[in-house]
Amino acid sequence: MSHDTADVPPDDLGELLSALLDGELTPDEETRVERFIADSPAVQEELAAVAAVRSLVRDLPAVDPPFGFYERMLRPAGSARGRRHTGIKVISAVAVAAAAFVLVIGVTPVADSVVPPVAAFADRHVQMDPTTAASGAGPQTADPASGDFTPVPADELDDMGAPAELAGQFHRVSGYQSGGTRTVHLVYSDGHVMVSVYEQAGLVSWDRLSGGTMVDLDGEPAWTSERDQEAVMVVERGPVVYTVIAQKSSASQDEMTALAGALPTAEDPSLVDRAGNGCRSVATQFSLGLSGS
Amino acid sequence: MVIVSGDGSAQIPSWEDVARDHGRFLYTVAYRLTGNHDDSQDLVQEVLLRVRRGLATYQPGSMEGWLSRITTNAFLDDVRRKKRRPVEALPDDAERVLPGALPADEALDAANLPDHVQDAVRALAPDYRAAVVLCDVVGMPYDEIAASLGVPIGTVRSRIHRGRSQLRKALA
Repeated sequence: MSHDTADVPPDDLGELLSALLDGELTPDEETRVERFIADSPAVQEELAAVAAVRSLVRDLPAVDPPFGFYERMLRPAGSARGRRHTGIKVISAVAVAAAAFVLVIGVTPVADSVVPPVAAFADRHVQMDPTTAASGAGPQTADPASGDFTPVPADELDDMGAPAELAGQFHRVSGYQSGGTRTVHLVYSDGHVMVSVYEQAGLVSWDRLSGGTMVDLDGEPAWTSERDQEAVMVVERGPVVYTVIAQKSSASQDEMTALAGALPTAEDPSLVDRAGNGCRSVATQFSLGLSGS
Repeated sequence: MVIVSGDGSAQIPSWEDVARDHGRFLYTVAYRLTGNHDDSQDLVQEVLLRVRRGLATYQPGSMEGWLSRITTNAFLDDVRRKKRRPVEALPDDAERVLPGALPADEALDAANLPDHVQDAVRALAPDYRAAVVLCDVVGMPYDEIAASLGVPIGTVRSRIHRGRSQLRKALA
């Protein structure tokens, strides 16, 4: 069989042979390369060599992890004898996150499993008076369920890395800290719409958030809900959980998404954990939702 | 924004399920990418953290494909972050594979030990290694590899070919 060698540029032949073995050629490409194979012993030899190397990799055996590797990660933190060490490691991890934007993490003993108290947060948001929020005044009505929030001065918020602006239009007007509930409440406004951003240290227990809808926020999970007059969105960024609340008649879903998307991402604790053997740290984060050892 | 699930959590595997049912597979992929146990363990931990975050939006399908994608991206993220091994392009003539090609029987004789092969895989540039591992260890088709790595399918084909060419040279 004869053919025009210009049909298959030499530089492409290797790719074609490799893709042929993987069954990834188009019918036309397959026809072209098979003509070459049929006509050329050198090409046949080349094909066999590529196939041999391909098989070597494909025949590599499965690799078992070290004994107990997954078990150590699955072990609940409370049952680990090294709990104190776990706490230290997580504190180290969250210390990095604090540099990004955390008020409460520094006093958090362990990375926690978080279920944001959405109703209490929404109540507190509703009770905020837009005309006085800028002065740091809290809700008009004290509500124990909202936590013992105290105002945090603006310069301290800046020092702690709390974003001064979100989504290019919402400016921070005040901030509050609750030691009891280990929560930070930041209030933003664009002059018309007031938005609350609650931050908690830990990882969300998504399955314990009820009544809302899980959505995909640019590849990250998020939970949305509407409560009375408020739209709520919960997102997780690194070891930090954010709950964003705004009046739903004022903030569209797209605006809520933009706000949630503008929230900063803390350093992943696993990066810090790598400095030591971080198995227990991972276990801490996962095991809070596990039932057994 | 795409709605993934409402209350269909029953279809979402737990973190324990993933570790129990796919732990060995996950570790194998991590080991083939990193080439050593220490880095494999770090990578698996990172992957499981990402898995934990992503389980809520996991759509039932190929769990191992999903895990492979996360593992490979975590590996490449780590490589880029640490800049341990800058990606090096092959010389322009690297695709001219016919001259000096290693006969199949010689290639097999020269590299019949898995450790030898693993060492050669580890010596590949990370982008080539990721493509080869996804293709030959995971068994992923080119279009899925392209989607996983965020590159055109032609780039996948080229990287696999170049990776295999480098392996042949390393095992010669």
